[in-house]
Amino acid sequence: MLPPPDFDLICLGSGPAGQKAAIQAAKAGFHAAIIEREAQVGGACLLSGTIPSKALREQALRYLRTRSDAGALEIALRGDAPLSALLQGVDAVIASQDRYLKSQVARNQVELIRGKGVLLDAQRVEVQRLDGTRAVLHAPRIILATGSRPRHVPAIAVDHEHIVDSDSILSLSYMPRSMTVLGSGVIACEYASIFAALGCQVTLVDKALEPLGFLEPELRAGFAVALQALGGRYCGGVEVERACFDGFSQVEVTAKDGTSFKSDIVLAAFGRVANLEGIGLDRLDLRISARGYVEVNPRFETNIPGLYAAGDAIGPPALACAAADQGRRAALAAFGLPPPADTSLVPTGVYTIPEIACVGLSPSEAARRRIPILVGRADFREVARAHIAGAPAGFLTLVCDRSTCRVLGVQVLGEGATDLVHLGQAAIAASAPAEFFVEQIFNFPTMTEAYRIAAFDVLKQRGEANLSALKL
Amino acid sequence: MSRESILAHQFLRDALSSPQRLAPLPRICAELAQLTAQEVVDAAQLVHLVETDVALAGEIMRVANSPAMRPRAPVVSLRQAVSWLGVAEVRNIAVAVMLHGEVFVAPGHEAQAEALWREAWLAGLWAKEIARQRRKHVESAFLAALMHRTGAALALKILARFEREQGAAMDTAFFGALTMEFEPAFGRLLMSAWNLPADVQDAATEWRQYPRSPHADLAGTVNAAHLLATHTQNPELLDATHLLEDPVFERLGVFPDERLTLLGRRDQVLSLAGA
Repeated sequence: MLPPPDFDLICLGSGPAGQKAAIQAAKAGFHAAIIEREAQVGGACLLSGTIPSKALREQALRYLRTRSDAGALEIALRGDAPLSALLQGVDAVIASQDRYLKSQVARNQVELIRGKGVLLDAQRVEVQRLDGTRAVLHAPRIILATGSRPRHVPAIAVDHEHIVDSDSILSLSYMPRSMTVLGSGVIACEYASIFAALGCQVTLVDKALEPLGFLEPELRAGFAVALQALGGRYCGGVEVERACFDGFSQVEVTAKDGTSFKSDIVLAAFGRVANLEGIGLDRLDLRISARGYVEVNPRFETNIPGLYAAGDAIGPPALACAAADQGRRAALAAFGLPPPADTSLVPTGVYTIPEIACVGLSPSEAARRRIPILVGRADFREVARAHIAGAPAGFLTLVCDRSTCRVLGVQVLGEGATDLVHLGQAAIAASAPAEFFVEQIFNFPTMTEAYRIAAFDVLKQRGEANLSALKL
Repeated sequence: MSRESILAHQFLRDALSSPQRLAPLPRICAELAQLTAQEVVDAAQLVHLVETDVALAGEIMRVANSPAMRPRAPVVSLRQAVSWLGVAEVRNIAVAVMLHGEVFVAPGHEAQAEALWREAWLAGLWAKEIARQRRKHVESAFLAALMHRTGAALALKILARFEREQGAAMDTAFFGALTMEFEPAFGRLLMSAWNLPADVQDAATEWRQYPRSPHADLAGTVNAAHLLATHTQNPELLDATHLLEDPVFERLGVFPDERLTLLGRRDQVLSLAGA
């Protein structure tokens, strides 16, 4: 017989999913614990992924602005410029986020336990502490929120010296002169544009014909043009066979067709893989998908009663915002509490230079599902604020229902896109029509003007009889 | 304070005020840096440069033939060795050889200088392993650990010169205390003269007080590498149990089973170190 439980809920991992799951449980009056192997709370999102890479991106943008402001002056980063100098301030950001998250956890009386959690069965976790001591904790509900790490493939041996991944690239001691980025997904494209902006000669190589294949063609094309403008290039349709240090000064990437690419360093960015090793899954008959993710039902419950999973451990979309929402829902489901209103509205943010964001229905998806739509477009060159900010490249498209003009989707490419998309998301959630953006009074000059321009475009296409009655 | 003590302090302080005379970047390192910064590195030029220094050429041949490098066949020529090791490794070896030959030299205190050198070199190799295990890039870790005893070596070298000028050996305990006292200042001086990155300078001078360093993670890595180097050289001074229980590993987030994995690379490190 099992002893009385130590907690009502244990979360393995303190990333967005685990952290929000535990806090949700605590807010519902339950005693929750988080087991975390790192000293900081926040998981890869805070330590090696989302936050640090965005800090580096910010530095790249500053560098670009300085170069552009300097006009005739020739400004270039020193070849031996330490990357740590560019990442200056990121430690402070991590520390402040860590402090905030820890205080939030403590305020909600969630117990934070440092150590490696290993499942003994569906209700017991052995915690291995850094000092070597072990303790067994019992809870009738466990949420696996162990996150993910960079995916490695057998043909490309990541040595963290010549061939790095998205973790070790952030501790690179110098700015490489050239870099081959393997992959065409979000991480590959984000780092490709960041390093290209910093003056590194970047070649993005992948078997996909275009980068960021999951996005609309116009967004993909916009990214490709921007990368080229930064001095980078995309080589699609290339199946990489191997990558190895040539033993002298370059890493050579060889494709199946014999093409080769040489650069100072190679970034292997093949997406991410769930952290499921060493957590005792061999003792459980847990169902894992062919892609290596924990399989869950819509309530985030695994095939083992009482065992839930959320975040990167269950696979795409693998976004911090989605993980946090999944964590909350998993906790509510674990206690049999009603879930919040369902929303399929998860925005996608790609932190390339410039940013890309989208939410809701895309024109391609509408065509596939035969949904009649109108697409309004705003070019940032028409937006005063974009010129003031010195970032007139970009656009916003508004996807609306053809008959009602209800807003169904938004796609944005340009600086500030990841923030700008949220207004469109709110309109979609509120079932607002395109007229909403014309009738409301927004601050001027702001990037929000792009919504008004796109909305007018939609209304014009509908042949709005009474356009003159609207604010112009 | 005795007269000898006052004079010794003054001698060290004078040395600190003239860094260029004290520790200029060795010519070969400067030329190597210049050569390897070029867009296309010419192997022939690199070999030619290496050939001008017998000690460097010898060390490159030794490392290229070490079991850890797993050469497919014995490396018999310098050109072959340079090609096999690559630019970055040759640069690392050059810094190491120059440090060994020009900084870790203290006539009358050869054994101490050699022990410091061995500690630095082994720590550099261990730091690479620690970084790799933690999925961090290895170069800063290697350089910071390699440089972590340069301050002590330089202080030792200056004090040896002081002894020669005074014509008398100093009290051993006093000599040791002065070396310790001036280690951070000389370390900082040399690394700043050599224009090393700020995080490397901080970590290599503040590794003893790593939690207080602005680069605590890198300084902690150097501290852990130092402990591993000490254990590798003198297991009786620091046995495996005490080593693995050191709080620095907790600080770095290395769990007990991962520490054992790390320690399991001892033979590989020793092979690279030429033991």
